Amino acid sequence: MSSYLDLNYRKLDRAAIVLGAMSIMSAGFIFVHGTFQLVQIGAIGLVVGSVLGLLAIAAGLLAERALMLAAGAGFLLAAAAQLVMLSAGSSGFLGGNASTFSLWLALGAGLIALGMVPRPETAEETSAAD
Amino acid sequence: MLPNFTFFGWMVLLVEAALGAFLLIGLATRFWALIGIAQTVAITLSVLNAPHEWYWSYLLMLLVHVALFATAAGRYAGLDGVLRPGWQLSRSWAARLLVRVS
Repeated sequence: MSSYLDLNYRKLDRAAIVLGAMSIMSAGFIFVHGTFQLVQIGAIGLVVGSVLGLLAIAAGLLAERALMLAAGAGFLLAAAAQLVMLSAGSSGFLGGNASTFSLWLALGAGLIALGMVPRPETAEETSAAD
Repeated sequence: MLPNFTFFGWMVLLVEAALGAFLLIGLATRFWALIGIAQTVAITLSVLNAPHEWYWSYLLMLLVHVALFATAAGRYAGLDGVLRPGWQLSRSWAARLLVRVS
């Protein structure tokens, strides 16, 4: 486990913040229509993206792995729910499309990957890592 | 393929969604760039003889994936860049695999 002490953990936290911000910004596509609507977001999808995005940002700010994993699992769950609704032939209550599924899959996979990186348990180890 | 059209349709949807997802965040970029090249070749060969098809769009798509693979773009502007140092130090097979595909 000592091999991980050389990592710069702040970069991982910043990446989680960026992914969270990305989710909140992409929720803004609810106001975009026509050619430039890259992702279809419904009212509940806006809430899901915003809440999970804020959770990811909090995880990054607090350097909390468990929150990153929780946010990532939430996005994967939302992506799976969206896929099931699409297979039933409609956008469902989340109001998204296949691009929404892909976006939430990306955010979920990214946050899970960041949350799975082991970190030092003690303050001495943390300072040694920085 | 035609007798199992539904299965292949779902596989294409999942692969294309994952392709976009992983290239968007730059995770395992080189692996997904290779998948993108394979997918582009399959699409190109299936539509090349269609009338009024603008084949340059497929060449452009192929070139983008080749560029992502050649430059290992995820190491500079993606999660590969922040996760790779940890993978390189780990002895697990999964980490070694991720080093190769990132």
